[in-house]
Amino acid sequence: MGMSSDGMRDASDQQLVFSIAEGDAGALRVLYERHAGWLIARLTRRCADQAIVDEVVQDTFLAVWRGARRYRGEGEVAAWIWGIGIRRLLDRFRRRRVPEWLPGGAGSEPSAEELVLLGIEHGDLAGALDRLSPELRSVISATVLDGLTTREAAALLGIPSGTVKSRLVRARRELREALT
Amino acid sequence: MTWHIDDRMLALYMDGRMSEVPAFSLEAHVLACADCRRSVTDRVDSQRGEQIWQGLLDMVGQAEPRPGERLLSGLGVPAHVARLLALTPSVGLSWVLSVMAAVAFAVLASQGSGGPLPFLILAPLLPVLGVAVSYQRRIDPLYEIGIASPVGGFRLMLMRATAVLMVSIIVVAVAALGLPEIRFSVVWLLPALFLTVLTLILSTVMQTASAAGVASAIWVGGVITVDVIASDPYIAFEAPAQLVFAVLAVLLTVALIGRRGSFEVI
Repeated sequence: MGMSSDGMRDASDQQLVFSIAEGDAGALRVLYERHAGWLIARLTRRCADQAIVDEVVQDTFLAVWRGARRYRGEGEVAAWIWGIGIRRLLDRFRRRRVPEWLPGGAGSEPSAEELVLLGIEHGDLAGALDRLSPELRSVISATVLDGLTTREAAALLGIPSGTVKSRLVRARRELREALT
Repeated sequence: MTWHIDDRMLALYMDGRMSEVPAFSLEAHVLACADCRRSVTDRVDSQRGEQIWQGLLDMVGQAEPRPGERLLSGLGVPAHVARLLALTPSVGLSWVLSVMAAVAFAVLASQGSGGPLPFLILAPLLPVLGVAVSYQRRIDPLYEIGIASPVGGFRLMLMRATAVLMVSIIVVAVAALGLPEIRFSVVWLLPALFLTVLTLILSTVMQTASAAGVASAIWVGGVITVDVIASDPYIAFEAPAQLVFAVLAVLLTVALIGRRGSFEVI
């Protein structure tokens, strides 16, 4: 063990990952406290089964513990953790062969309140994204937002890779037209 | 960053009532903003987080990846494949050591007046035995997982058989350098390939151990028969016979692909 967890409170995420790579479980605890919460929340939007989400969060941090050496020290640690988490969730879906993926949010139409909240900074983009068909939006969501590859997105959405690619092209074109 | 998630957005998001596009923004922002990560975390049941952590602690304490697994990962093999291969019984150290011992004895025995026949008969059987061991349900720590893994039975079997073949070939090829005549150090390769594929296809209709037994019997019996008929056991290793082994290996591989479905069930 290196520093105690108390001495870790001020460490950056990157420093924590480097300590974890050296086998410091105290650093893992601090990283877990910082990142488990939002990971639970974000996974919950994609999988309604709480037990699965809990297992995926556990798997993710176990992978962080064992794979910390592979973190290159570039980019947000949070993004790295999400990349592990979403793939673990994907593995679960594949294993069960029953897609329990929740495409998008509960309501498909954004409420007026949300539009006001987002309007200040994201007005045009939000509107343009909303005008996309659900098929195009789910492809954008899986690739751009969740950072999946074309093949992973295809497995997730249950459509061929070629379809993912063509939908991405169409979605990008529609967005570009809407924003210019 | 001046844009932050406010309480109303957070409530919508956590209740699952926020629609896709605003959620896109929120999630992208959360990856980049430690303050907003904290706001989201504050809304997650801390007891739930603590429970997951306790489970995690148990796993952190044990079950580090095996050295073989780490070596494979280092060579660029994906982690889940590395685990499956590292846990293949016949790629383990003890199996490799037994293969080394067996092949060393065969090479020693081939130094005598009998010529390299002991080596030539044994060498093609080693991958067959390896494949048999790698699919013994009783001793396979991954048997259940193998069946349930996303890799799938057929691919898993192919990966393992390839690993077994490669390990055997390296061990036997090194040992073959000790043979008195260098031309005998490669003629066992095609018989080995043929017998391995034969074992795999037989394993679709019987236990893998029995399949390996039948393939071995066919091999040893065949060499003896050739010896009796032609009074020259080495005919089985000369060019025409090699061609026959190559053709048979290809035909059996095609047949194996045709029967791939039988590897997907328990």
